[in-house]
Amino acid sequence: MRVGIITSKGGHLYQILQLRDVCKRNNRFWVTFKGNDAEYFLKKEKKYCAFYPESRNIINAIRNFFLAIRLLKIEKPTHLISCGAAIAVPFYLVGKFFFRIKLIYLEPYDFIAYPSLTGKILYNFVDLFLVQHKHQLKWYPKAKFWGSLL
Amino acid sequence: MVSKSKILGKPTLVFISVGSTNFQFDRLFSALDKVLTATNKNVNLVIQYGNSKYIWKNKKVKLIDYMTPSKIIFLIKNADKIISHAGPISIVQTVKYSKNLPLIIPRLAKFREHVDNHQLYFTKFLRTQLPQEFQKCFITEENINKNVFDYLNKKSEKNVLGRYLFRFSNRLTIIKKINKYLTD
Repeated sequence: MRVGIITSKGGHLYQILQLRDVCKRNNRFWVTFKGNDAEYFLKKEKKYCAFYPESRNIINAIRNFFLAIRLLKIEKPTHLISCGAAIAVPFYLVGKFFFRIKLIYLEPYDFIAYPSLTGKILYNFVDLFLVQHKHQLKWYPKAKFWGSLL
Repeated sequence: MVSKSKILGKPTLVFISVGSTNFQFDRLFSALDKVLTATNKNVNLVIQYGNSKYIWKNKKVKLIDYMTPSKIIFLIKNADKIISHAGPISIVQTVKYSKNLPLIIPRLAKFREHVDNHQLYFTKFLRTQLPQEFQKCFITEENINKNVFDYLNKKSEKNVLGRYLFRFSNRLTIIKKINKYLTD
């Protein structure tokens, strides 16, 4: 089992960090962005940097698509896990269609009133979709609610 | 010569945090700038300003673009007052570590402060979990000048938000279940 954790910085990183103990350190790697949070929280972790900014940025989405092909070929994960944001999209699509990797996605805690764009895009592609509030199940009926991280 | 702190008392440490997103939050900075000019309070303002290019009229503020998480927590624990954007982690850490009640201001899409208004809805959601007297900590208006002015000028109140918010974390259960999913 090898897990790739794909995450944006800030709140997304902090939330998915709560789940890093789903597997041992030498069975996981991270794809995130350069910054203070990555340097601080992921000091001892194996990590790669993706192209930023990611939000509604087509050029970086394409660059990250090709980066995903390269990284997933090297690391050969069995699963990918993410809490967003946009960085998850190219990695998950490459993961699913090029490498048949199993995908786990967790909707962030603060999307209360409507589903996130990343969640909407990836909902039909992931194998396990988790929400952190019960009412989010109305937007994602096939998702599972196992409680909230915060 | 008597020192300034002997006359004015110990300065109030005010920590402002706007997160690591690449959007600006000049609306907050201009409100703070106006308040500082209007009052003569002895205030030490430390601002984590992210990607903002706002030019401050008041030059006494201490500006830092990004800080390590440990420095942020240190400042939260020691600040007399905190004004924060409504990022979930900024809020969680403020609720957990702040001495006094903070002021939380959501970024709004209308002013290009974020991709959409999810911070505003999250703020409204957290307000519903609080008794009336503490809802003032979570702002939902666009014009924040009066809120910022009142917050900085009024006496600090003890932080009791932890009694009402983020009390039901299932982190360990979720880890266990995901681990089971990975190994099946």
